[in-house]
Amino acid sequence: MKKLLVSKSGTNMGEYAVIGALVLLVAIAGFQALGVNILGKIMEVAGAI
Amino acid sequence: MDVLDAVQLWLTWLVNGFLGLLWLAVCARQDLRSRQVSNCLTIPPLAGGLLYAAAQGWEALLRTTLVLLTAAVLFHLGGMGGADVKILTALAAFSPLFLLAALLAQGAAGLVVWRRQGGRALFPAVPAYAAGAGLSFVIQFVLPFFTGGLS
Repeated sequence: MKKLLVSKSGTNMGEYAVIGALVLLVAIAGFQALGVNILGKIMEVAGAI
Repeated sequence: MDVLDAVQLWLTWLVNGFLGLLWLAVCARQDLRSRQVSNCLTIPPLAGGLLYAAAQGWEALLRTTLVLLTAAVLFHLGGMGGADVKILTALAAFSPLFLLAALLAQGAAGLVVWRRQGGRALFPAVPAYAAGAGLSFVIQFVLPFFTGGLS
């Protein structure tokens, strides 16, 4: 973690940039969908109570 | 929400977006010149972003943590610079829109570099983040003003 904090490098490697962007976009989209579903279930339970 | 509220909200977004873009532009300039971005420009937004995300709630905090952890893994594998990790994490905390635009721009720039110079070729990523965020800013906040999307 210290190495990461100290690093000033602003360069990406081509293949890592593509793969990293894809992984993060999919993860964020999945996370958003999961969040909406969880919120929906909570509202459903709250409504039933 | 009446028109005044909409305009006030739009102005707040405009000012925040403009400040974010200004910061990204300064970082991009440094990255283009020296392939490095000063820690003075990246650590305070990272720290502020983590605090802001924590204050916003679990969704923002989880999103920011997800980006930090994924980017940190890429950093440890040698594929991403430390400044890029800090900038992406700050964007995840402060502006999900800028984050998505920056990631799309990073992917596109990476693809171009990969095809032209090979997968192991290095390129300055912060200008791509700034370009992506700038484009999203124009599409989201500036164009509606001229096309009457606010009314």
